[in-house]
Amino acid sequence: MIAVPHLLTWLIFLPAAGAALLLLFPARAVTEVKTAGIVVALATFVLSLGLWSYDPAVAAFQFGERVRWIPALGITYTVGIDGISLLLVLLTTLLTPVALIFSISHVKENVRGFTASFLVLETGMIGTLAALDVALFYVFWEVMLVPMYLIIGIWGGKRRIYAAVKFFLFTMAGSLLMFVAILYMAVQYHRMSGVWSFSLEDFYGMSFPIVSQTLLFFAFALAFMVKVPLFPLHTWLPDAHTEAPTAGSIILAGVLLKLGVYGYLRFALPFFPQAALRFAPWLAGLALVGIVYGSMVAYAQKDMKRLVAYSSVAHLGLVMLGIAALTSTSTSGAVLQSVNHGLSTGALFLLVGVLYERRHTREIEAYGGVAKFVPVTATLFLVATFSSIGLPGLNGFVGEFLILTGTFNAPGAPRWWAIVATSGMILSAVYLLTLVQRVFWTPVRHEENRSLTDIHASEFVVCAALVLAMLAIGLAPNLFLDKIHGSVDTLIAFVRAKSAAPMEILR
Amino acid sequence: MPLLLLPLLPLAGFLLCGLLGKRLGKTFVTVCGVGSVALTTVLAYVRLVPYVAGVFSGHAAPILERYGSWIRAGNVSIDFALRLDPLSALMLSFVTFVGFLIHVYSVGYMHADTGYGRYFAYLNLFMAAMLTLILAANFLVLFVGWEGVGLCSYLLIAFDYLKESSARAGRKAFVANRVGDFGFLIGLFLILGVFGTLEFDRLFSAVAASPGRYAPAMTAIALCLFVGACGKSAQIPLYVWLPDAMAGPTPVSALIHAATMVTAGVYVVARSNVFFRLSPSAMAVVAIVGGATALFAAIIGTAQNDIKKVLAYSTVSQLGYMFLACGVGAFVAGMFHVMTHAFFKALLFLGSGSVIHAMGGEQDMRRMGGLRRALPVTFWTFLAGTLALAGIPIWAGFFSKDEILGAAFAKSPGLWLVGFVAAGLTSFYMFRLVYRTFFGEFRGTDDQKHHLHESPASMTVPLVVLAVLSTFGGLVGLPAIVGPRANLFHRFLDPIVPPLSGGFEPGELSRGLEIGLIAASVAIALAGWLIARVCYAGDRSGSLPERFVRAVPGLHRVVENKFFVDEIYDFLIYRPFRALARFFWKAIDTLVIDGLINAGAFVVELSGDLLRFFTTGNVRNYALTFLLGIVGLLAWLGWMGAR
Amino acid sequence: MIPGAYSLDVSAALPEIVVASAGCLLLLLEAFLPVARRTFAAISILAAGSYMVLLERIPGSDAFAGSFDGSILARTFGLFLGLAAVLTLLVARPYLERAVAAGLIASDGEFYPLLLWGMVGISLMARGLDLLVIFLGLETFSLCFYILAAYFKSSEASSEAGLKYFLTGAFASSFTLFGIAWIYGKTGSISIARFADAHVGADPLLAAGLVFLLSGFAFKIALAPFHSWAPDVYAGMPTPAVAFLSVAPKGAALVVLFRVFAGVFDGVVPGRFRAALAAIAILSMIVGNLVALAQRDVKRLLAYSGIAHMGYVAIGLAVFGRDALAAVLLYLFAYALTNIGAFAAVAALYRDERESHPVGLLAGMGTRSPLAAGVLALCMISLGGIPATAGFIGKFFVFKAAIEKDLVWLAVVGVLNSLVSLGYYLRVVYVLYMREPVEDELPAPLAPESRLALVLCGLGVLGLGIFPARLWQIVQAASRALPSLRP
Repeated sequence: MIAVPHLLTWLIFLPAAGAALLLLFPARAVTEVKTAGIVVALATFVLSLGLWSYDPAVAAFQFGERVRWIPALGITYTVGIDGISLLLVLLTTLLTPVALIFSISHVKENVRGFTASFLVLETGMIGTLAALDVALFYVFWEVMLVPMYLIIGIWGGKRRIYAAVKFFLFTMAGSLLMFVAILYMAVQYHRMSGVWSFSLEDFYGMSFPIVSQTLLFFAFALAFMVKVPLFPLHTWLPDAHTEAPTAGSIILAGVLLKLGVYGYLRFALPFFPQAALRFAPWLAGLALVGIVYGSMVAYAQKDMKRLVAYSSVAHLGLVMLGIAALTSTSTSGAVLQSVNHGLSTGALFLLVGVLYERRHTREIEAYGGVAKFVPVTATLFLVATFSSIGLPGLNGFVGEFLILTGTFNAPGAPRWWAIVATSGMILSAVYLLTLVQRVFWTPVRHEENRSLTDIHASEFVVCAALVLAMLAIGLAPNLFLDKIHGSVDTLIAFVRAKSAAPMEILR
Repeated sequence: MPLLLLPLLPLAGFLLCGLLGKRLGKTFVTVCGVGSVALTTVLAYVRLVPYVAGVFSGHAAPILERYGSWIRAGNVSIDFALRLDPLSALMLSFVTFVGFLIHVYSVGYMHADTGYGRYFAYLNLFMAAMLTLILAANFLVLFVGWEGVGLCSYLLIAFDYLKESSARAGRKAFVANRVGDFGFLIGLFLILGVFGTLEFDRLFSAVAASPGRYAPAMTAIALCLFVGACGKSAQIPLYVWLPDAMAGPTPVSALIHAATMVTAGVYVVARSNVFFRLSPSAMAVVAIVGGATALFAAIIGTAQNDIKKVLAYSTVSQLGYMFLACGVGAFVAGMFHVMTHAFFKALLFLGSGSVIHAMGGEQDMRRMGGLRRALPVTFWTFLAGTLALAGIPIWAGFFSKDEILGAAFAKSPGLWLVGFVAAGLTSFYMFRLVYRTFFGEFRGTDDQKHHLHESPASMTVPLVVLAVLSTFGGLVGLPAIVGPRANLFHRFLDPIVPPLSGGFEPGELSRGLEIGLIAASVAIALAGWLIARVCYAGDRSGSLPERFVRAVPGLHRVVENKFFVDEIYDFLIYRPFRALARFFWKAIDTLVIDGLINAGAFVVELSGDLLRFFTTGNVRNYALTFLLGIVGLLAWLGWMGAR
Repeated sequence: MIPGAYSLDVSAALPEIVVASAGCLLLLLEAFLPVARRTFAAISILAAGSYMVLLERIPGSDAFAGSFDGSILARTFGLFLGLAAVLTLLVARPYLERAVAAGLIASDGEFYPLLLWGMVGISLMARGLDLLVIFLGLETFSLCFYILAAYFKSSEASSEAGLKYFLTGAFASSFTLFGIAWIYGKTGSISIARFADAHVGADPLLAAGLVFLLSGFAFKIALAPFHSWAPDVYAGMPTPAVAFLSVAPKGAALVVLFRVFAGVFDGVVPGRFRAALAAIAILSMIVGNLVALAQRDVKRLLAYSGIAHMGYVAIGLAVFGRDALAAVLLYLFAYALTNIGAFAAVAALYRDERESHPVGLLAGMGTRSPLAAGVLALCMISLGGIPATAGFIGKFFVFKAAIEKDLVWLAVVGVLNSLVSLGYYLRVVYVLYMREPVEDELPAPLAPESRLALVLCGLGVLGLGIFPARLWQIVQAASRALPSLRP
């Protein structure tokens, strides 16, 4: 792999530049806009493959860059990648072209705006994952909201406006307190050291008396728990997913939710270890409720997208459980599982989209027996289903197994955590196989389904790409785990050491 | 030739049939589908023959093949490795062969089906998974096969996915298995926690080295693994999926739901006998569950009219025997029954398939009768299978079942009695089946009568082969009374049950007692036959049972309806689950959580509306608020001297 | 006094003089050479531009016997004022031409001189170092804007706006003057620099005087509870004038308050006074945001949003100190770009100025008038304080200043309010993009000036949002110009 200078900066801003470029196109030039957008997204993906040269042996951030941004406050443009963010970045660069290519034949009005929004969104997501300056992180973190708001609100379904506003306000409500917390930490750092800085290392170096630490932890954790989303902060998700256009759901489920997980690992945990460890049981509790509750509510759904949306609540509950247990195994599993969920749920939404674009309803009742008419779609759907159920040989199993066994044998964690969580394996089979049965199997109930056409080439290609990724992770997980667990171990070691160290009281 | 090739070949067959089957047509599918398995069988025996010879000449060291690390994170590190030892060798020998025969049979049986390619793709995938399961060198690789066969079973049960019943049965099977897997996984977590590895070698040698140290942990581990076994091998309380699984094509029932997959549970228990033997309580549980299932299913079997349902419950019951054997420490006997059962039960299912084929899809015995004239080959082979299952001497089933009953008696006469009664019932319902199907007058419609025909060679040849095996296959395990070294089976398989100080030891039987027991079980088998003959043979066919039914209608209804277990589960589990799910959604999610949020938003909006009315548009009020503001500020700043 | 000193002083006042005389020139042309009207906008822009340029050249020292500020603070403020004026003028010309065409007014000639003189008044206010100069400026600009408010003679709303603004404004000015009198009475001086020498910081009478003064300026800033006039006036007033009024005088008033408090309290605001200012800030944020939620008319909505934003700025006032002033100045720049951008879009998107400006009419504009709609949406997002826009930067520094002074709870109240505010800002955005058009008539095509104004505001909002470092340096330097302010 030839090394590209400033690779990360390219990755972050290439999509945004592409979006700006698109706005120069005439609005009528639909095909050109689509191709241009896809070319940019694919170029970003190809570039991002350069990150694979990340060396796990070096337990530090790589591809780092630092530029002064607001010198007066020591705010810098600092980016870098470690094992925790690497795969998520690749997931992002993979899913964005997937979403755009899928939409080729489905998005009709204001294609230019649609494509541009996705590219801006990609910049936001990659930036969030790469930022090593807390202020920079916050900027990217919030910037993501706007394009997503537009994507849901403009190209969404019937209740799109309600869903879009709910999405925006919910996530904003979560992160505003984090904003204050960030400022507070910077001010404290300034008082402590006499210089201004928002850089991650400097913040890692700070520790706070337990009271203020707890408050700060809540401010951060709230932001991430809403994003994940953790019960009971999840109710924005079903609406957003259901109303968003398919491509939007793919990105939303595929990447945005993971940023909550990522943020918790990168910021909340190492910033406030004592508080984080003290409240880990509560986190785990919510995660477990999310697993069981999310699965059961998913089972009760009548709308395909809502069902998949609630399944995300359950799956991410499992991921957060792995982080709460905080063993090397469970946490590595959690990081991998975030990627897995991105692939499998992304594929599920994509295939639901395939049906929706043909039949224009998401009601499960409107289908039945369609496997006869769309065999390829049905097969792919089965693969995605079993990936998300955690069938060995596909990606989902590896993550689930590592999380569960890591949690089960975690020194700090009671065993019933893992036991309850394992029941999620049964539940996921229940609701997803019921979905398969009701939609693809059983007698044909509606004549109009007989005229359904099977998946198009463009849709098939992107879905096949996802399936290949699932197989790759399922069959050769070490390729990916080896990148991850070095950084995870460093993180855990850091957290444990910092939480053990006596707290020096500030002023 | 690496062992890995054995699962890989059918896998390749799966990919070819699945991806290209539609385009390249039936012949291609037949060649790939059957060819891959045939080749696998050949290669399997290429590996088996020298190994078996080696074992008999005294060096039974297992062959271990590592193909590199599969999962490695934190303190978990699992290799992808396969092993060949007596146990896996035994399974390999009949799984490949029976599997091959059933593939051949399917060519004839499925020839008219539109899903021909799909069918063989699934069947090949099943072979791949099953071979992974039995060749696995550690629990996780085993779990890959374990889930893989579950997947294929799911797909093949629901093969006619447009039929409501098939679709439901498929899901039911997978979910029931998942309940088992839940326990199985917990078991794996426990093992990882205690030993830090899942490799069979390391685990069992570690335990054998210091049994006392590990004994305390074993009950939990063994019971968790047994929960998994109950799921796969359809034991109480998870057996309910297997009867429904008959919705799948008959060859599938023969291969997956009789001969191979469903015995995986027994295989796992035998495989980890070292764990089980360290926990008497776990052994007791296994024995009791096995015995209970054997009897319970046998009872239900006596009152079924669907030919496949009878065989299904018979399978459940026979699996119960196998667990009973394991539970009383006779693991080898259990595996022996696994093998013989694979022969005669596959034979019986394929035979019933041939019957159904001839009857144009009819499965109800009440519309059959007198078929032995139309289907001679099917009849004679079926009879061989029946004799084997009923435990009539020299037929395979006799030896295995008899050994199990002996071991059971040695441990507890109570368990023996259960098995003994079940044996009688088995013989009864099997001959009932034979008489109702092949003897007496034909009770079907006329065009069924004209349509009657013997099946093609592709179907009958496998029947004959299996009949031979069912008849003579038992001779490899002659009882000890014949001679100390007469039992080849034990000589081959004993190494898998290593000596274990303080471990569970099977009981001993005096020679005389052993002969007595043999006589008894032969007697009960013949008794069952006799009763069946009295009830269902000859011109007074069925009159006796009818009187019996009239005598105790309640009992009959309960048995005929399988003790209403499905209905009970539906009432106790399914309905409450659904109700709770809806409650969570409608009440908690929509009402409470969203309710609170929307209420908050509403309050904010409302307060905005109220505040708006201060902006009256009237300048006097503006001046007033202005003044109020000043007054307020002055008051606060304590201008009134209050400082 | 040294001969020639006055010439120096004149050069200090040159920028204002130029602008004022440009106003006179325009008035003469309006009277005697009406054909020249087309050039008025250009001339005014020229004047505003030269105002900024000349400000850079003025001597750094105080002038007119220390009553007129020549410091970098004055220059920085001049930058803000000139920017606001130029953008407003760009918006004004096409807007007024439409109004003339619609028969709302006979001529747009007087608009420009009034605006320029108003600008001079504001400049005097901001630069004044003694209370009389400040009051002079206050009255000058007020008079101009009373007239501008009622500029559409034939429009009832406009006349009403003018009348209300005049009545309430006069009321407020009287309190200002009253306060000045008390302060003078107590300190014996009208020069801010001398207040400190009087050492009467804690005196109740002085406090009362300050309250009167504060109320008067709070009225101009539209801080609750002195805000009531704003919605009615904004709604009726010609949009470009509102754009200017909603930004420039507020800035000047804030500078004045900083000067006076710094002078009187010698840099340290006593606790009770800070609490009072905080209370005003919170009240403004809450009233502004909550009532804005209930608004259906975009100009009224922007009026309340303005009240709320001045609440955020008042946090800076309550915090006090150098960084607070710097933050406030930065916020003013951000607010100027954003708010004028928003009004520019409003001016471009609504056709009929006789009618009110319901938000609903914006439906579907996202596709019909992409530029204006895009800038409006961007400004809404900026007002909502989303990062990468100017609005975020403003809040960032204000809240940081608050937290530095251990007023974390003020920052929390601030962010919670900005959450509420998103409720109505987002509504505008989704009406623009997510609703089907209600009107079949397309909006008037954009005039080049409007395009330019919109583009400038848009780029400004983003530019300041992404690269605030340079401007922060400037305002920080400016904040040092108040010697008595503590860091």
